[in-house]
Amino acid sequence: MKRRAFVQLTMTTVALSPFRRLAPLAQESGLPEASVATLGALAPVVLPGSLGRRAIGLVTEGFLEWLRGYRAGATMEHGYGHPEVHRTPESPIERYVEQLAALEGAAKQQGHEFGRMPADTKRALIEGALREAKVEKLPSLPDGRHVVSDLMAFYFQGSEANDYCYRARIGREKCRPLLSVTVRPRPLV
Amino acid sequence: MPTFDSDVCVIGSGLSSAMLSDKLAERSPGLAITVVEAGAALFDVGNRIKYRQRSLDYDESAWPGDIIEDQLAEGVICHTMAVGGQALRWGGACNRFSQEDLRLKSLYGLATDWPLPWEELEKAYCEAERRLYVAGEPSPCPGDGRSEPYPRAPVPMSYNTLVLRKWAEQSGFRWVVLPVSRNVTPTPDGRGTCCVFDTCTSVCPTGARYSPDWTFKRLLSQKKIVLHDRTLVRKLVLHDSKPSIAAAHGVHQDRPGEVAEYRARLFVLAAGYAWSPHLLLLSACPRFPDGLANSSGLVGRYMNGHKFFNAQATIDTQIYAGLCGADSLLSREYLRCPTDQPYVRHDLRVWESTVGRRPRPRDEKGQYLFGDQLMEDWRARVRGGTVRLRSYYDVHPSIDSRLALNPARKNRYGDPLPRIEHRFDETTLSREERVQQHIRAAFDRLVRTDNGKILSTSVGTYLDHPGGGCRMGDDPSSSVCDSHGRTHDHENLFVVGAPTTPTAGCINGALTFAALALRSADRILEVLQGH
Repeated sequence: MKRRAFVQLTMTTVALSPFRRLAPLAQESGLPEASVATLGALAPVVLPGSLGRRAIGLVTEGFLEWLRGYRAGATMEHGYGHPEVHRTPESPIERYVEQLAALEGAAKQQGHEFGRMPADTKRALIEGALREAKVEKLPSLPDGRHVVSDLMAFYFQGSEANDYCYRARIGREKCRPLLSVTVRPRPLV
Repeated sequence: MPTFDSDVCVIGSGLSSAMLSDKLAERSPGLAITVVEAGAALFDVGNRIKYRQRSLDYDESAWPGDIIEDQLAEGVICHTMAVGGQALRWGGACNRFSQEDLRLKSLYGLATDWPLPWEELEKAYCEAERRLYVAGEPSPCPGDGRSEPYPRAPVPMSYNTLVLRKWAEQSGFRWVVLPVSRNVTPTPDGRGTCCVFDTCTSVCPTGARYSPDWTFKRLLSQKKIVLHDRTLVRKLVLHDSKPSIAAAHGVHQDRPGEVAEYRARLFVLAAGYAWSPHLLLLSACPRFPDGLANSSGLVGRYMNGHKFFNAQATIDTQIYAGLCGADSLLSREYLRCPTDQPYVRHDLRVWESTVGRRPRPRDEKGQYLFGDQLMEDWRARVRGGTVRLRSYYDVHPSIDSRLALNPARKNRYGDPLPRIEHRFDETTLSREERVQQHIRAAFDRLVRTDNGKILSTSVGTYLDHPGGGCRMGDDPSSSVCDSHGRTHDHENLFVVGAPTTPTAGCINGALTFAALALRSADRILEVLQGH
């Protein structure tokens, strides 16, 4: 599943509980199951609850698939104006494992698993982690600074979130009939 | 040494090369044309959707393999080196210069005149527009007259552009939808139609936005040209006794120890503003110790381009960010300057923008925002619209605006690579502040109409649509080639497109480069026919 191509699936039926679906993806993405469990537990805190549990699960799946598709060392866009040649850095996976383990560790210090903590406490722990990582803004693409901001960037910088924000079918960066963009975007139902 | 003989050897395969090769092949069937390109032929059209998606998802190159890592010039605006050249990544804007651009010296006492009448360039513009299937609407500005209508009707405006046009027209400026080489209906050359992928400046998977690879694919399939890609021409070789070019020596990437010799009746340097003068300088020899075609000393001089002034502004008009970021509006209101007034020339452009309206994880107080709280914050900030405003303004190069061989950076063969440093003439420097104030006033006039507010302004940090380095002229002591690109020093060597421009105007350059190359083709055919 491509990034920015998943939330429309929320309209489709997903038979399994979304979080149960994450387990097999753990192996494919390279994240240990424990890390995936923590990721699954923090996703409802940082993604819009109004999307619904199923959609949040799909976003998380999409993020894991994004991680699985990551290729280190690929030539990056070299830019226009002041072009520079760079390669994609190492996969953020190790950092993610550490960051998710750190969240779990912080939760354990308070006597609980992260996933079993109240939402407010989870949020406080996440805020602390982001503050420590000096996350000030959402990157346009996941950049490896912190798994939480990357998950948020993965969703909020995507086309579906843009539609959800405007409550309109804009379809940014999607293949669309030309005439469909010549009229006011239809409301998102 | 492998040798390859042809009538015409074209070095480079960007937009100018495509236009020229296509016209030569069309007008003179049977002409043996060899195109030699340092980069690769990236013709895997079927993969473009995948590459585009990986570019969006991971910031990977939308054109994998479009650079040669030890062949990067300093001071260029794009590193793409492949069949199609930098026009693999252009937005498709097809603007004409104005008549004033060709008469700067005569009208204003500035820079230099171009050695060709407007009527001839206008005719070449029409031809370039036909070949590129340009879609556009007539300019409402007097002086923008055309001898032929645009080949295609303007691309329908996105909803955002429609409402922005209504807004922008309240200022009193006259606007058109940007003329573009973007198809709404298929073209005979096999390019597809626009599906609003909206990544025109990166890659167009359907080919709706023209790129020269389509022309070369067609010419190859029709066996009208021979293409040697991944072959870097390192040197032009003089005839033993005459001042003409006998051969071009190239090296294929897979056979670095083997020099391939390209022999032809006529050579065309179509390698753009950086690599064309670079090859001439690299080809220095005892008879031409300062480089070929350089008896004027002006190869690599008068490197040009236009500067630009940007602004982001909020307006009350509601737009929907992401509907079609490629669409834009153009005003040619200030492309002309009365001769009795201080010299100011610039265009005006308007796009939808998302500046200040992106999702953010912290609010003004520094509090982290998550989930629905973040979404609500974002929703509150997308009420109304943000517009991006930009003006290209006319600046004129000094003789010290130059491309030089950089001994500190060499490719795998030990050839020094180009380094470009732009410099401006005194009059340009003296008027710059006033020009920027003029543009700022125009922006203010625009945003005033909708309770608007300028959020930020900036001056571009590079020159766009660069050219020069082999400027054209009638006088061999002050130019490298004539108006057709024929070098003054070598009767069978032409330079085409961007490098030949004396100045860069204040509007996108690609159509002008294409038109000049097409005009060169006429002269090249005459030369080949012995006229």
